[in-house]
Amino acid sequence: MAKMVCVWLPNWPLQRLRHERPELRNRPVVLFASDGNRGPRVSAWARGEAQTSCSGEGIKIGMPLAEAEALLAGHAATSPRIELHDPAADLAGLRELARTCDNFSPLFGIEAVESPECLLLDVTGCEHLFGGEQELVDRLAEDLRQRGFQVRAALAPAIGAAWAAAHCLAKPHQQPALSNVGLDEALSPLPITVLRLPLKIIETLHEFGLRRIGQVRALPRETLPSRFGPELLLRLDQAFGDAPELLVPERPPEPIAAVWVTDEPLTDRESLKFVSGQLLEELLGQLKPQREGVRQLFCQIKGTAARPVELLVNLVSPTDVAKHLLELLSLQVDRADLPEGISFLRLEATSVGSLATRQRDLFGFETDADTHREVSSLLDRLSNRLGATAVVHAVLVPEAQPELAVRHEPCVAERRTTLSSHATLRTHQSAQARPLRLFAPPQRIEATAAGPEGAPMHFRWDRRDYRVIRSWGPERIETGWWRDDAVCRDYFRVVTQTGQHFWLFRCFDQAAWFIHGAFD
Amino acid sequence: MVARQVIAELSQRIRTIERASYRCAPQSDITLNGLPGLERLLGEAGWPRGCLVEWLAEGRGTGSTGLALWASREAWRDNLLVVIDSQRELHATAAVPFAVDLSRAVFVRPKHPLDALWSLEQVLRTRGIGAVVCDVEKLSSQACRRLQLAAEIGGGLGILLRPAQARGQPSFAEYRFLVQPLPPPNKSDAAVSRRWRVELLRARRQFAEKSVVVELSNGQDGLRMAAELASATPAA
Repeated sequence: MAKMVCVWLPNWPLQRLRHERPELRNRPVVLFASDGNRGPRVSAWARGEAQTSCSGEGIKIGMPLAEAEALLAGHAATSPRIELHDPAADLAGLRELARTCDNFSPLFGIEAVESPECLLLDVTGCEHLFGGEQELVDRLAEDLRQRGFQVRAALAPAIGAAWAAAHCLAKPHQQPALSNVGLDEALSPLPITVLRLPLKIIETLHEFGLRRIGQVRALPRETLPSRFGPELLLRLDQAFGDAPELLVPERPPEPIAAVWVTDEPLTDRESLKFVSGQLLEELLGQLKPQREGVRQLFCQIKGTAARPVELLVNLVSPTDVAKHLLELLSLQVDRADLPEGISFLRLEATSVGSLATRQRDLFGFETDADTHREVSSLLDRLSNRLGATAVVHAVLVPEAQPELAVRHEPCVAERRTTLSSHATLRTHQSAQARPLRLFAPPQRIEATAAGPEGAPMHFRWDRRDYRVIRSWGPERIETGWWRDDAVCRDYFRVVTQTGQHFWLFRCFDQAAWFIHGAFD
Repeated sequence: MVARQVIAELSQRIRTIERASYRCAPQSDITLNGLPGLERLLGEAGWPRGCLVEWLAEGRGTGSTGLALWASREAWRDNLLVVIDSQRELHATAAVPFAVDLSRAVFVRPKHPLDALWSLEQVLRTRGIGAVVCDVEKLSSQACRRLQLAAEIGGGLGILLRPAQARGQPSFAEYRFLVQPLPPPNKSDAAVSRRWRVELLRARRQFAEKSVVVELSNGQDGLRMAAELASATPAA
């Protein structure tokens, strides 16, 4: 007897979006799609996870986006996020999720409909590995829940039955496991909508007063195709396991790799570079038909005895230039502690991407695209020699504590966070109030102040005495008590007799003065 | 007016001849828009593209970094700015008022001085980089020449922030300035304004004035350089 599991991820487009961008979890999100001349229409929406108010009451799928915005504007405490619906990303995301369930079954896939929301697993013969059917489906649901997804899962002898049970019988922490015995009783009271029928057939059945599966089953089988079309009987049989249903399995993508193995180990780096060059040509040859380039390259070098050396080359944008990749690889190989006698070399493109279109003008002059490629190539070289964390973009964070007000994101990261408008606003308000050089950590100094809360008058730092001739402040910076490293500081900008500007603060916890930066 | 144009044209040609290995496309100079003090010092020349400019200052907190950024801001208006920050001290929040667009700025943070020099040369050599800012304490004349040649290839502006002790060392930079902070003006307003004496220590050309006092004030609409100031006495 077959055992099928259906995992339903309700409102999958929104779940995917919130999983990729957790900052959207507590905000209402509306997805829209352009509908020809009718303008943008709502294709999915949800209120913030913590929201219980009636904000957004009345929003329906398919209504004009402007109406939905108006409904949200009246109630929402937090501003709603409005995004363009990306069905291709939803499909890719669901497929990716299916592939991560390979520890529960060797045969897994997604439902074959236009906008899939369900994972399907053929767990026949796998249940004993988990201690039973119920345990298997519970563990699968729990696994997905821990990854932050909302799921409804069910196990049944057929895909149709599992689908129906996942949509109607499953509850947030209760996964039904149906067997052949009692399948009739379990499915008969369910509405006919769970048979995955076209809307037209459902409407016709409703016109006849047929609302439950049991009612349709009670009708003579041979009359059903002529009255309602052949699909009803097929779906009915599929639900009860009397008709076969194909599960199209998802296969993990084949690794794009090139391997070189030899019996006579290499002893010098020049030979290694030559072999790497040949492997890169082979690797890029595999990508050429799809017009794709390498975005991340994984290199594994094995010696005769030592542990393998693993190198990772990250790129800002995909490239198909073997020379550039070899240069980046060489930057890392030159600094790596290579094993004696290299006998194995494997290069794998762990991330690939479409190549940007190349276009030159009529006379072959360089265009902006060339400049862009040069800059990308520079960032690649810098990142691979100095490390990804050494080549960064600065992103402002709305944070009072100065040393935490900037986050550095590697340039070669997949995605970059856009600047927070709130943070930008704050910066303009405090223009020139922060020093260009911030010392990390702040350095303790000896200072004398005008009073217990007054400005400093003299201080000694870096073996020199400074006399303060003017000061601005105090600016109190205090972080919340709930933070482990809460701070309470009074900052002063001071000008010394030599015209130098420094940023000092009085630390209340330690009753001491610190220098935190210089207005260089 | 015609004579001035002719002189500007001739000086541009002389500069092109001076750079025997000039390989980047000839481009106009970067203007000194909104910098009256420096305009008085350099005339209408502005910053030539593909060159190095050294800013020397004694000690910390002198404001030379901010002044160098503000004076060169036209260089990265349409291009990328790269900041090589070995000390990991440059505070991005504070750079924004100095016309640094963080979405088009890259911070490179090497751990070793040799890596910093290598990064600087790599960046200067790349076309499409508006300017690169780097702290350089020690620089051999050979390394400086390499940087100058790299800048000529890339066409960007190399802003080198150096200690005042470097004033005696040979250099291939187009300009070398010494920035000396002056005590704040006796104004009762609460806004922070800063004054410096900027001395032109070295230039490939001769200019009428060698030293000028500039003032940068922080107004409602951001930073602004004061238009007219008293004539500065040349530094001894």
